[in-house]
Amino acid sequence: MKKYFFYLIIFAAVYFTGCSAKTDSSGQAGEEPAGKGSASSSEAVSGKINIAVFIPGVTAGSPTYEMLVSGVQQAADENRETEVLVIEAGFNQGEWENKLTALAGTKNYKYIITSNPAMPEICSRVSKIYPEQKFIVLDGYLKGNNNIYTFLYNSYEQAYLIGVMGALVTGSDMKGADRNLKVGLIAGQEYPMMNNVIKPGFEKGLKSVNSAIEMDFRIVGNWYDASKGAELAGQMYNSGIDVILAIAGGAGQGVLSAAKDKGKYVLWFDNNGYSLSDGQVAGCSAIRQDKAAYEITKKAVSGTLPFGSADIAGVKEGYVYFVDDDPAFIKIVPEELRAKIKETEEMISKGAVKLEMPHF
Amino acid sequence: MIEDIFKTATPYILASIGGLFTELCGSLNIALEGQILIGAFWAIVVSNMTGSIVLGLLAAVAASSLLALITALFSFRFRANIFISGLAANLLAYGLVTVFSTILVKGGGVIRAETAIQGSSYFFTVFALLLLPLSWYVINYTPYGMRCRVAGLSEAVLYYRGISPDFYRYTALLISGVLCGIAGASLAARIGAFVPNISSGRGWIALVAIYLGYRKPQWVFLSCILFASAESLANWTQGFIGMPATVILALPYLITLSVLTIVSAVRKKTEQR
Repeated sequence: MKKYFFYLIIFAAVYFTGCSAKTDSSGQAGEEPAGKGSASSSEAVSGKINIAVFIPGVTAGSPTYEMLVSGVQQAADENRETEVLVIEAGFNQGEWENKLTALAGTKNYKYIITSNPAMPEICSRVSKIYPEQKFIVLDGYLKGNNNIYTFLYNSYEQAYLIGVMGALVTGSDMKGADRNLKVGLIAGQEYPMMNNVIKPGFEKGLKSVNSAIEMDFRIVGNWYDASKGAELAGQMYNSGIDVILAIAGGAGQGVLSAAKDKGKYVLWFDNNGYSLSDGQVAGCSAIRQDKAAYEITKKAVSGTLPFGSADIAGVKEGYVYFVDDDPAFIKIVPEELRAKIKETEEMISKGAVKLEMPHF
Repeated sequence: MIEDIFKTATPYILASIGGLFTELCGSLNIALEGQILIGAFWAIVVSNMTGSIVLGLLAAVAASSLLALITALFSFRFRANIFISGLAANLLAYGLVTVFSTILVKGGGVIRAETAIQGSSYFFTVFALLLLPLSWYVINYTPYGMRCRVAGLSEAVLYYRGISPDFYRYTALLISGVLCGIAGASLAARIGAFVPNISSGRGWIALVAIYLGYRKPQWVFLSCILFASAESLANWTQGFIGMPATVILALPYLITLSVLTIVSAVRKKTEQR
């Protein structure tokens, strides 16, 4: 008895710590259908356009999902004929497909809107079961399925922009910057978008300013272990890195606290992160997910959304931008650097810097 | 580097010494993970609400102990299997944290500390280091520690002497609750925030450390240090070894597992002689 239990603990220790999150989304039998999905089945008849927002995760604490919900809601508020329901599928990636299938199975929702690089594939599998269901996926890419429209942000430009900022900070004489030309990148996990687009884009941005700058790339292993994020970042700061780009979800909080501890800098991705610390965030390259969600929902409601196509939008289209108007940014970053990053953004926008999104 | 290792080891040491008491008296508490989580949550929430770090720490200890007492109540009073009630307590902790964070904190998710709790993280490491001699003394040289061990070995002995083993089990679970609460607060203090899933399996690792340390406080302590060093090493090597980071991340677990195997093999051999 004791012995078996001992093995159970070992198993649990490995399962709950080591091999987290990267679960395969296929093949796991679902225990429960998406709870709220069937609740409003009577509304379908009333001629309204019902829209479901499927959150692969939890909205609270995730700025990109918060932007998605607010954008869709804003579009729906302008049109009396639309109803929006938000469904959270939770952190267990293995349950997403089942919950999405259950949601599509209610046949109450004309459009299901979601956002995550993993979702196009899941949607196309569900689409085989319910071919009349339309899906809209932001922050994902899939072409050629007539039931799915995807909208991808140009993460290459986004990473390039923040890379330029990182290079400017490490080469500057800002208070926390040292003489070493080393910049860090901490990611939650390795995934195609990270390895093939964000990392190379970031590096390209760094080298465009000064080719001698080295990049140190490390991963936490999951998106929530903030202590580990703090340890990793602490070691990197000790090794002569003075600025780190954190793309690590909740673990990014650990990077912020290490930066505060050591008096160094953090770069933020996807949303405005200046308010997260007291003068450690030295740049954010963000996406306008709320704008995209709003516009796309409006198009979908009016029936003009080209399903089957996949759009990619970046700086030029106004969906990727550098947050340079925040008082915290203006306070800690000298004007010279701010002018340079503004210039870079304009160059990308004009097409003076060619940034072709790599295959991922 | 050494400072980092001790900082990393702090929650492991606190939780596993707490768990050790429960293991010694024969009712291992596997709800350490949930207790750490709930401790971290209340430490941040209450210190934010009151502005006092000490009150935050007390709330962490209280919440975590309460969870331990619930586990104890179900296991000893209502005679439920302690593994089952422990697992249930872990799940309950996750649920409670989600519920309370939506009720008490607008938006939920990451809760940043508004107090200077981050500066107090040294206190926790010092406390964890002091815990080694303290627990060693209590377990080996006090009547309480000895009766605790006897409760695990043979209940009957205690019964015949007119002592209730349940008292020792309840208090052992309470000790694990208190220490896990502090462990949770130490995690939150180090980051200066509460992050969902902040415990990240540390309670389970602490359980492994109890067995790895052969239920002796000094060896349990060492196992925690070993694991923390392995973790630190893995973080450090990621910077320059050209191995896939995913492999390096598995290193702490591989090291722990291999040391466990080697130690038990050596022990078996020496016992045979």
